[in-house]
Amino acid sequence: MRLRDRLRTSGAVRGFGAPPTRRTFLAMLGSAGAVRLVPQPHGLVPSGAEARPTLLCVGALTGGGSGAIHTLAVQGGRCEPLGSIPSEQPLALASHPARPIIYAANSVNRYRHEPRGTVEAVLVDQRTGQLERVACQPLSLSATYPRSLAVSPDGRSLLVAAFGGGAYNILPLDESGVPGAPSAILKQVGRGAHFPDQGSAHPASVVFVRQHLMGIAADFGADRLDLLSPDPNAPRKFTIVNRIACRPGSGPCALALHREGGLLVAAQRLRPALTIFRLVPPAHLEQSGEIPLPSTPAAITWCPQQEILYTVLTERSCLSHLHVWQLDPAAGTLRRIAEAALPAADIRAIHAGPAALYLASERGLITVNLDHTSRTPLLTTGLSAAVRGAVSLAAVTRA
Amino acid sequence: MTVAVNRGDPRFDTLKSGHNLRFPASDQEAADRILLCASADETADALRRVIAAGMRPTVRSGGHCYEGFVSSNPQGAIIDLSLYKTVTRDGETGSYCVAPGAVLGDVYLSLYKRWNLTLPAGSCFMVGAGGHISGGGYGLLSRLYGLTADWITGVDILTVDADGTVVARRVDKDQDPDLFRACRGAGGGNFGIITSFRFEKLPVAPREVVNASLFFPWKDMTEEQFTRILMKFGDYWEGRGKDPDTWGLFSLLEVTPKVTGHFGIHSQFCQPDGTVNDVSVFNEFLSRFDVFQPMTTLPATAPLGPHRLNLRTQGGSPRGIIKRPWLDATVGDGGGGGPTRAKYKSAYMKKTFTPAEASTIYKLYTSPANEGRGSVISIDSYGGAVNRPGLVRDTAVAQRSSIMKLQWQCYWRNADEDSEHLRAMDEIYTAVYTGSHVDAHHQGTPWGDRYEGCYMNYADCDMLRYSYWPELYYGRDGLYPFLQQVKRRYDPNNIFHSSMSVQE
Ligand SMILES: Cc1cc2nc3c(=O)[nH]c(=O)nc-3n(C[C@H](O)[C@H](O)[C@H](O)COP(=O)(O)OP(=O)(O)OC[C@H]3O[C@@H](n4cnc5c(N)ncnc54)[C@H](O)[C@@H]3O)c2cc1C
Repeated sequence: MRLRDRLRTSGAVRGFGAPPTRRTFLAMLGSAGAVRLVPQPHGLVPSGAEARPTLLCVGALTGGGSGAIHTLAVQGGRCEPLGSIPSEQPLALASHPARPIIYAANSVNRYRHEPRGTVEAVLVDQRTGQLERVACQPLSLSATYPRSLAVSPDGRSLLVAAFGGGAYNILPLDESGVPGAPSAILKQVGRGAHFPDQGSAHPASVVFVRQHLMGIAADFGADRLDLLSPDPNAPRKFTIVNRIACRPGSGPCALALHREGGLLVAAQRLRPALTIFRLVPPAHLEQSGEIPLPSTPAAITWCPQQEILYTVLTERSCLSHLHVWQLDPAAGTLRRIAEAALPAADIRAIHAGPAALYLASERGLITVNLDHTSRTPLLTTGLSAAVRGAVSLAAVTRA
Repeated sequence: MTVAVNRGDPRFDTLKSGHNLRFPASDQEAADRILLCASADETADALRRVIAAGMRPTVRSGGHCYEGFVSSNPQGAIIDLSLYKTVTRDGETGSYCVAPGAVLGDVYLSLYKRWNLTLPAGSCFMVGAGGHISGGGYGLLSRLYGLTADWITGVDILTVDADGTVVARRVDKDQDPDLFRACRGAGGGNFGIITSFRFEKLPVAPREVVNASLFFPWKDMTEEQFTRILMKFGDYWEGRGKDPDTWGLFSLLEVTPKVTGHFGIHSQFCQPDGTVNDVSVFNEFLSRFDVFQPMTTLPATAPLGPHRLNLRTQGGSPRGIIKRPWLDATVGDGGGGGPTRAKYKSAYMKKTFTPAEASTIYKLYTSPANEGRGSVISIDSYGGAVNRPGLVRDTAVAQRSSIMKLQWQCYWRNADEDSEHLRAMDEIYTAVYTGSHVDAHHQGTPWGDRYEGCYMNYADCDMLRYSYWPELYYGRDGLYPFLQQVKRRYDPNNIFHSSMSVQE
């Protein structure tokens, strides 16, 4: 069962109460609305609402061009380190919908001396949290520095965005979830208004639409969203079925698909904003809103149970801001309901558990407890320094 | 009309490979489609379609690429220009225009018969202009006339801009001079598809040449004697061979394993004026080897080596010298051989052989372990006009101080022998460039005081394991960073790429 399904049926989901106003939220946080980090070797913070623990996989860069993947048991904001294996540059992680496997986009540009990025498949022991690398699959030639990946809802394909090489690769997944050589290679062209950052195509983020087996990708370099569907005659071959232009020079960098799959939020890095799209079947996106942001979005995710979106914005200083947004599903718009300063400027990924948010940062894994009712951050936060250099997150259900 | 050959087409299995049958390594690695184009417009159109489909285009002209840069293209498309092979003269500018699909033999015949001109290009009839000239292109007349790339004065090239638009450019020293320079020797498959090489002028074809071969029996060949032969050969190019009156002399020392019975030196000469009225330079060179009492012909029973040159020799005449019309010597025997499995390596040498180097080669080529491995070293004379000052700045060939160029070759037929031959070649080559004659940081590679790296037209993916591989191919004086800039500017999406293409 998929993590989110499990969580949905686990009793962890509580009713969605009235969201606090910014003032009440700041009051909850104490002065200045800043979240205080509490170092927590064992991540002990007040227990939350999660009935069953989750295994959180954390990709980390350990310096000198190497990295690691760690597992932590997280429950209600507690986190306990369990396992760890070396990896190269696990800049993004994704979990299989049915198997205890995670995939790491290894943001490298060399595989056996050739210009290729790679994807690692790692088996997670759901009981102990121990990790075992089961495959390292090279991407197509010149598909370097992969930055994002997503598993198709049927568990048969892995969509990878190669930021450096300007290409998408689809890797077929076998029965046990092991990836094979790319079954589709889609070389991209295009540019945006900002040179040199947007001098060429740079696929940066990918998601899968559950209902339609369709991939959506944000191309940071070419200011567009690409919609990819399997070829009806060859299901492992994907083609681009539509392209949606974003505002010139916006630099879409991260996508978050609402759990119902009907609404997509694209975070724009170069002209900081959130753009909201409705998915119009079979393969179109219609923009329903755009919200300028005061600073650069670094990470974005939906709350799995509710109409809440979290974004992390990076400041030039050593601070980041966590913004909490409420969706108006009918209008397809977002309204900011809370904001908090986070004492780290280098947050790279965010994962929303039912009772806490987990943020991957250079200093380690930051846990931000959530109010059960409003899903907004509480004062108490924790830092697990066991995973220094954290850059990516994915969850696997614990047995 | 462009001919599209897709999987399932009866021609596909033949056309999916080039000359080196090692590639594609599997059916999965093969391209999905081959588009045969017979004009620049057809090529532009094919390229547009390939880009729009999100496929990777690889470009093929003569199909003689040493590595899988063209044929290994999973789900991609090969744009094949072998049907685009005209050799013409531009009515307006008077420039000679060579289309990429023209093979060298046809180029020689056309230039000679129409205008009594030639190119100092390679010795194999079937090598294509497209890849050969892009990578520099050298041959028997290069000491006399320089590299083929030195003569280019313009290039028609299709590039793909950031938006994916195919742009047809005519580049020269005034128009896109950076791209023009990059097209003069950096290697094909890097920046775009060249649809024409343009030459304002070309060298006059020699009228006649003399050829001679010297054969040294392996039987009774001592290490000391072998070393002396190699050093005598090398000393000549490091010394006397630098004098312009010798530039019409080309020579190749071909070392084959002991089991072949003999190794030999095969030479061609003409005076700088393209005649052979005075062959004293030739005699002077050949006489250096008299002391070893070489044979000038092989016994009828001797196995034939894989000589790349059409150097016919004659018993009876002094030192076996035979005079031939230049055209006959150049294209008379056709050649190049059919497709086979092969591996190649290269090394530029700035100085003669050291005793240690010669000793390593001796040991390797007399070792019973190497008998069946089919490896051959062709040690070509180099330098002369290639090393004229200034060319290094105007072209993309960095090696302008070498006096010899080595090509390591190995041929075999069966796929199941691949790994053994590849391993053996790598071992032999690495052994020769390991030791005190190579500087400490470049062990295993021809780099340092005595060497000038490798030749991009003899591409060798083994060299990728050295982080400094671009230095080996492009030198240390800023050429590679320059090529990277050109790459970023004219191929910002890295449409044209291979494992050894210029990398961002
Ligand atoms: C039997 C044999 C003999 C040889 N003899 C010599 C010799 O005497 N001297 C010498 O210098 N070299 C020699 N070579 C090496 C030869 O020059 C290179 O292998 C050359 O690159 C082959 O060119 P091609 O067009 O035949 O090959 P292809 O396989 O068609 O192309 C080789 C490379 O060039 C690229 N390319 C081809 N056409 C174009 C184009 N139109 N625009 C842009 N890129 C293109 C390809 O993508 C590929 O990367 C020999 C090779 C062989 C196999």
